[in-house]
Amino acid sequence: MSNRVYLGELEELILLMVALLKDEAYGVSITEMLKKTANREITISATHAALHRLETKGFVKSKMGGASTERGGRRKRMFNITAYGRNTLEDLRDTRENIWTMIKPAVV
Amino acid sequence: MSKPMNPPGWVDKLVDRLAPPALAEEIRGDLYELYHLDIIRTPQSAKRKYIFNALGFLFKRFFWSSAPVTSSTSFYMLNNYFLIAWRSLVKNKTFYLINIFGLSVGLACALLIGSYIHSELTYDTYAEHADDIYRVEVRVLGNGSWDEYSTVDFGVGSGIAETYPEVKSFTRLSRGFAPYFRYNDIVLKTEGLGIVDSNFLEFFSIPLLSGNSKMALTETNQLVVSRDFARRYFGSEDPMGKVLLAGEDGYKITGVFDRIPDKSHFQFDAFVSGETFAKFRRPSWSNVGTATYVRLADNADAKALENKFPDLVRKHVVPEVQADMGVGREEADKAVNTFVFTLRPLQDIHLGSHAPDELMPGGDIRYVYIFGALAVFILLLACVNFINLSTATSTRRTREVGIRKVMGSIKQQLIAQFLTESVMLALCAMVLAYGLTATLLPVFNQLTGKAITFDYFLQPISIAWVVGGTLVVGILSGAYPSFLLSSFNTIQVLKGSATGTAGRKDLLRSGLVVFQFAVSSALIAATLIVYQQLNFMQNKNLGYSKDQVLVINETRALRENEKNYRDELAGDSRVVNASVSSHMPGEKSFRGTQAFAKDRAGDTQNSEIHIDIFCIDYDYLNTLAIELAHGRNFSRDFPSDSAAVVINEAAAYEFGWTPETALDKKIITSGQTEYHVVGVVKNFNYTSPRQKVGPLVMMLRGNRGAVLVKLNSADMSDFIEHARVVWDKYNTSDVPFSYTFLDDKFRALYAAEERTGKIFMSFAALAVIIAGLGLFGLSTYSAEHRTREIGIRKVLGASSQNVLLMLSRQFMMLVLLAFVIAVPLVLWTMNHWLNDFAYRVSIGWWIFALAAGISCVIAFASMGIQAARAARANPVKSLRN
Repeated sequence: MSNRVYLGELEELILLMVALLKDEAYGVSITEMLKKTANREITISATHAALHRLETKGFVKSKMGGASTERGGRRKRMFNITAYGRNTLEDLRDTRENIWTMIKPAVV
Repeated sequence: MSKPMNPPGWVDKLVDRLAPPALAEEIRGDLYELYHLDIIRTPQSAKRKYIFNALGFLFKRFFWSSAPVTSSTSFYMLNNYFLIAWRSLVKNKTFYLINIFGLSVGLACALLIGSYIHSELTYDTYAEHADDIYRVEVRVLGNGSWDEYSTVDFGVGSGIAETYPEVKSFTRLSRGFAPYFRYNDIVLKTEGLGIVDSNFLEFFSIPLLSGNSKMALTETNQLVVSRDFARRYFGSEDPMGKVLLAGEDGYKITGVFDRIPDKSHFQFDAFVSGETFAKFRRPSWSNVGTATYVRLADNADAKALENKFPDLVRKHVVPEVQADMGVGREEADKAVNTFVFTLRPLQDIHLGSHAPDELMPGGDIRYVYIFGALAVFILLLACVNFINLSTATSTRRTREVGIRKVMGSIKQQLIAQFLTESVMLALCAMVLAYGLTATLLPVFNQLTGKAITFDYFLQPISIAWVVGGTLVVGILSGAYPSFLLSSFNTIQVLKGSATGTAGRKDLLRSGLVVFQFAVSSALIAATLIVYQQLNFMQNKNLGYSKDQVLVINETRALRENEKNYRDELAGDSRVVNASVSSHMPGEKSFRGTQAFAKDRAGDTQNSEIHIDIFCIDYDYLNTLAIELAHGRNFSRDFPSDSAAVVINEAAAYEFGWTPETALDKKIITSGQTEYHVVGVVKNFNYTSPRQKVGPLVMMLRGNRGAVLVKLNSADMSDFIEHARVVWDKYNTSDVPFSYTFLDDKFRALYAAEERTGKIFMSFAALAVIIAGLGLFGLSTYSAEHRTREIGIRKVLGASSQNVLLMLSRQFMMLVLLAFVIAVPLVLWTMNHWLNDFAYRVSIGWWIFALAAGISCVIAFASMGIQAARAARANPVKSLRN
């Protein structure tokens, strides 16, 4: 593969969360969802850091979104997965599935 | 559900302060939202989690780089600045090396002087209560002027402590005990011991390595010695409890201290208990000789206490004066106004006290100022070089600036670029300066008499100061060039036309050259003047002959044979005359007394004066070739001469006589003793030639302690051997034969002036080097800049000399202008300095002529090479392209 994708394990998980949460992906919701779905407890700062990396790599894009009272009236940065990000995720999944099929003999 | 609590405010502030503005809102929002969730889930740990989460951000890289979109451009630019700075450095090696070298010389200078000043200003801080300790001093009005003494009488300390409750404790220190101690076979002369009260060590917080500091000096014949002192006698043995013999008397060592801190106004190798001498001391009030320190209560007002002292004078001093001088109560009462006790803060002693009886020669606040000013000037000179050379080279970089501007650089970025460059250079210079400092430190220590180690400069606090100072220097000296460069007009620059600010720039550059040379030629002139004064003092006719006079020390040890020893030496054919007396010219302080003329007409004009006393024998005046003005020398033909005195002219005038009328007059000195005047000698300079000759009375009195021998040949080694042999014949004590030459002793008096001279010379040299470097750089630039002009001139017929003249003239004018500015400055300052001397040179015009000559030669030498090269260059080459 010529254009190799550097996507860490945590980054991949978070990218998945962004895809899962669709229009509701931001720092807190991603952290919470990660805990719920993958039983991974990480600090909010780690989430932010991963999101920043994903954004510079072009897997997600962000814009400032709505405020709420429990945030003390501050806005959140909402993340959306980019087409490139989705393709990368799918590539990764396909690669893994291919490999898994090679490991397990197909059940008829 | 519990009421929502607010998260800790300081965390919010911290994040707000540190986060890039673009991120602060989302981060704080998320933190807040999480906090709310946590309050519901785990109220007790919510706050802790909040803090933990927030601090987590501080360890993330993205948090510290700015917002994702604009991230790290400034970092890349900084990188680029370094790169460009490096390229520029490689391209203009000469300029930059001159710059860095000049700046590092300046910095090294500032470093050394900074350490000197710091050391001078932090004397006597080691005692625990240093801030509350004062020394009791006394000022006495005599001969119409106030004499200051650093010591008071023995009774003063206890008297003050008993009278005033704000005095918490006191301690006393005196000198005058310098025996030869013997331990087995080792006999060494001690440099003088401190005779101290038993609480002295505690008072000054001097810790003992062994022994009990409370008990060590409570009994008679106890010694507390330094580790060095102990090693000299006992080597590696334990000194505690050992006994040193001085003659028959044994002294037991009861304590050992490491050493007195360097920055102390007293230095002693050993202390002896005051108890030892208790029977010889009475608590009188009107004499001097005991350094007395008091520690006041924390809130006590020293000034207020000082104002109460006249009561003590009335109570104690007045009766003593009355008894001593045999005067009426009314006359004695005058002492209240003429005998004033003062308090000097401990930390002011080193720089503030100039009393002749000071324990050690102290520092001088004026030298601190002079040094400080010189450091600032030299650093300024180096900065000026930097500004000068940077602006000079700036035209080479106009194109770079133009391109940068076209590519979108804004002014601030350009300023940042050039400031980065200058700070970088300054830091390079700093590293070099540290190297220079390490190299020059021994020389500097010798010059200043300090013992500063290189470690001093490596302390974190010193490094912080140095780096801070260097940054300031870098920014200050880079400021002008960077503003200038960034203000170039883009289009003009790219077209290749010269900048519009040429005229102004030249003015500034010339101004800076003038400044540099004004400072250096002023320093040259000052150096010449210091040396002229030194020379003048050394060759001044002192009124006595100090050449070929041998002083044999410690003849007191010969006891009753002292006189025989003198007589046997005097019988030698090589000896002109010999005299027994320990009073000799060139000492720092003398015995003195109050005295008045007996048959005075009116009390007002003939009041008591203070006179110095020399106790001499019949041969003294002849040995030193002191001339009589009137009357006669003491003579064995007049038995009544034991009550006679010979005075000097100054004393005659002070008593209200003339040298002629003084003969057979009577004077009364302290103790109500009466003397009649048999002779008047011409004034001879018996103290430092710095001071005016004071009133002196010479009495015929056995004064043992030294033998002065005037020889008739310059070859003394033979005679010294002879004197040693004769010494051994008479000597029964432990004291070895030792001698000095009177003119050596005399030379030591000039140590201070010689030091001043050397210091000025070193700084003048530094200033000249820096100014020379600057001029060298500038002339290089100027010659390069004008190659085309020079080429055309030569083609049109100018000779090399014409060109050389043209190139030098511009700078020579500046150097001369600088000199004109320097002259009044030097005249004013140096006249001020010379006024301290009773006998001084006048500043002649030739000094300035010489200084001008030197600076011109230096200026010409530093630019001549470049100018000559430019003048000789082949015009074809410079005109071809």
